[in-house]
Amino acid sequence: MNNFSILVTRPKNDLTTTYLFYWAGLVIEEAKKKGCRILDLREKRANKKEFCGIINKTKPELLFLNGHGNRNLITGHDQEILIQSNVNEDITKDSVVYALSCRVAETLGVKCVKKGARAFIGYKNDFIFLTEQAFITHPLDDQTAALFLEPSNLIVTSLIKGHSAGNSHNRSQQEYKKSIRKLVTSESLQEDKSSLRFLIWDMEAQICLGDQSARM
Amino acid sequence: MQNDTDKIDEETRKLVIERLKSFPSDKNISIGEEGSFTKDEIIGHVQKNDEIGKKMVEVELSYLKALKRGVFFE
Repeated sequence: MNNFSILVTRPKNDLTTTYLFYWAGLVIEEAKKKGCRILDLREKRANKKEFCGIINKTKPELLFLNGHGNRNLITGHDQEILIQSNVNEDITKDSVVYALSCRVAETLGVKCVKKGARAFIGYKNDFIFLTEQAFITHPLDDQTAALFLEPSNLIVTSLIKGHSAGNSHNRSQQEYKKSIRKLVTSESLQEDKSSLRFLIWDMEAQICLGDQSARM
Repeated sequence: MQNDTDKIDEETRKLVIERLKSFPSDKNISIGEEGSFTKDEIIGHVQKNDEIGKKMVEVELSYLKALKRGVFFE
């Protein structure tokens, strides 16, 4: 059983964050089974005051951040900025970070590592995914979204199982390739193949910065 | 020279729009804080050549380069 803490931010303001919210819930369930302590900043609780307060108090070993962002910041509920370059990236010191957010690995991730984050896994470009209109009210049943969010979730579930940051990133890359091969080689409909361009985009955007051997 | 570049950009946009026409109508494309878009909305952005449209062109060109590189066999 694990005895480390995971802080999860998961706002739910729009379709994109709603999908991330529910899919992050699957990781939380898995982490609970493994005995991790979960600090779940869901919806309105994904605000800067609670975020900084809990980190300063409990020093979670793993930060799993879901939300909108850009190269210099990542947000929580109602797009409130949680971490920003040259403001408070040192809050990630001594943690392993996985940020499911657009572009944050490009600059913010680099600065987090410089300020002491052990490793930072994220995306150096926009994270784009497809959804099926028929499933917007029950995202976990959306098999198209699953093609994108399962490889993403694998990063955190791999870390929980004791894989290093670099290995967790590699496992996610392999899962993307599995999704891609499934679409290319199977008898999947031409419509499903429309996901390919975005799967390759996300796979190539995902990077792991810092200590590749960092593990929980 | 500028006219040549504009012409290439215009041709590229036309190519991307033609490729997007085969995109399924029952799926949305979620692009971070920009929002979630239907096929017709995305094609509209590419036609307008705004930031979302430019992003789609970038994705499509990146995909074509990956195909050329043999990404499916890596």
